[in-house]
Amino acid sequence: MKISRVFIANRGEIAVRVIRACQALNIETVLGVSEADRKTLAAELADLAFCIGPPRSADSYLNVNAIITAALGTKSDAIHPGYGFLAEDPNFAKACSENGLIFIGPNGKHIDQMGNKLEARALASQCGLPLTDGSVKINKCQDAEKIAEKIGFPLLVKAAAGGGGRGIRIVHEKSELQAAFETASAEAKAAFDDSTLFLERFIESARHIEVQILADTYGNVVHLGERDCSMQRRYQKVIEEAPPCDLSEYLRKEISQAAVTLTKHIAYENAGTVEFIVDMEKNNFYFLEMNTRIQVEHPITEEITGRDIVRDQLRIANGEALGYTQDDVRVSGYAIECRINAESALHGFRPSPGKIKKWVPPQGDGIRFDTHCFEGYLIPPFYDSLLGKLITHGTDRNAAIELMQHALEEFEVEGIETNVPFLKFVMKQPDYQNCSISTRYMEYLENAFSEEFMLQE
Amino acid sequence: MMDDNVLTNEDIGVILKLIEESKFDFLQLEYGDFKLNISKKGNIFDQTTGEQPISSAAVKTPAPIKEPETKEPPAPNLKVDEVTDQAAEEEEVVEEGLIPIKAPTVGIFYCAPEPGAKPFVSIGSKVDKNTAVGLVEVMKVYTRIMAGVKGVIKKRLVENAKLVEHGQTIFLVEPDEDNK
Repeated sequence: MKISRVFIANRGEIAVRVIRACQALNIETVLGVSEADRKTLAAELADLAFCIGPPRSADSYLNVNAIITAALGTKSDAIHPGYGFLAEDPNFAKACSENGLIFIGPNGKHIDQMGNKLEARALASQCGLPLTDGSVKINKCQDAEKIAEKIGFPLLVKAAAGGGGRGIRIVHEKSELQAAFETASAEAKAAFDDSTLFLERFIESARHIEVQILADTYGNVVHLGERDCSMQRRYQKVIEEAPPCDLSEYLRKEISQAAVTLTKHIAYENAGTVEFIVDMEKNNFYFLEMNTRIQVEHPITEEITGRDIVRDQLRIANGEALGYTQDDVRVSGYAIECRINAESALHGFRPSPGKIKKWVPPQGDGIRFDTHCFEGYLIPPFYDSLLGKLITHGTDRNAAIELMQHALEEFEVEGIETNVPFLKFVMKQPDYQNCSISTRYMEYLENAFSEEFMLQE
Repeated sequence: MMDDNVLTNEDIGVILKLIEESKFDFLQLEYGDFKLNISKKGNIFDQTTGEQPISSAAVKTPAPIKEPETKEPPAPNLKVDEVTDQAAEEEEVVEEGLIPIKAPTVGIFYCAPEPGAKPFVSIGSKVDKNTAVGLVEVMKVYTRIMAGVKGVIKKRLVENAKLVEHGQTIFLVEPDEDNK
């Protein structure tokens, strides 16, 4: 193995996940920590925890120079960026290669291409992937009005450099367009330093379906099946499942084949996810974007395929061939993931940092809990609210839901508030159980949840 | 950028020698963009503008500090836990009554403005809040480490050209009584 020591430029549960994958491959780990993260589970598990800066992410987890210096100085030979932070910053990937460090992910060019949603659309279109009706880049609101007439309402105003739900607005009619255009533009400028926008047709009854891809440096590409991520709150995924329920075998095959086609077309390397929107009324699918990193929800795919995606990432980065083909990929059973967040479901999902006074995670056959939390852990207020990912794996969807209900019931946490009450509420909804889900279902559930809670009050 | 014809390393050596032998404590030389500050006692920054970036003096001279990787013999046998132990040890040595001077950023610590030059400070040196005690290099950018306290240097915990963590203790200072 070329890679013998990996520097991990991330924190939280994904840092723990990467360390464990490295340990399984006998690779040493150096974890870059901020001052606020010196006493974390990941810091304890890593062979070395090395402080890269103050608590603020901009000064630590987003500080390219500090991370490169620390990685070189600790004689690491590769960097795993996890997700978020610098994972999709093309300049970081480039800085790694310029300094002789292996970036565990695709190269800077691919991150760049897919990071720009307009360029991604153009590349997808080149290899015949279906796109929703959309526009080229728009700088002026007057231009937007003309194009909007052609696309028709409702539509989405989106940031070209977008991600994480920022710089997106739904526009139902012409009169709303100007305001949406201006706020999305300002938000995109603030978040991505690029105010370029484009328009896209909005599909009312949609499912969000994505495909896990793995590609080695020899041109071998496999997909590990599809995931459904329709259960989103404010464009943030909350519940994910695999394989998607109630989606025809034909459509599933078409979608995963489209993902492989795009991956091959751009000669992509390492793990990636191609996202699609499925119009349930018309039984059509459209390319949305490609994420050039490990996804938060990768464990559900691991559960149903038996592959270790992070381990495959390390092997690919090390120059090894995938070692298996599409025919070797078998899907077995059904998996659901609930993101457990430190946010008060009973108080409008406001963040709830603090000290965990009691922590009894659920256990048992078919239950997996990817987390960095423990009893006595102080959740710092500087980062996101993800406490962990609760994953259940059953023979079918009903079994997975039932197991999730048990697991959520068994889970005990005190000292902080979580979204567990809301997740329990979702799991018992007949519509959810019948797979009557869409990207708008969560919004409805949120309202229903607060109403029920008010009544109980 | 400095014109290399202005002053060579040898020239600076000669100037340093002249100052050493003279009765002057301090020399400030400006020639176009080029600035040179030399001091026999204490620190150049005490006597000039205080907040002046280091680049004006040491770093702009030719032959900058070499890359640590080439300077240090490769240490293939270095085990991660050795580094850990080292770091942990350094964490704990803060003796009673002594005040640590910590690394302001991740980087390579240098005790002198350039290889072979006199260190910024040594054991027994008197320091002030604004005394520079070393440099930290992050990707070719040099940052001065300020003492931040008035007192006497008692101990140096990090060897020259070694990697330091953000917040790692580099020096221990015995503070003056009138400190603060």
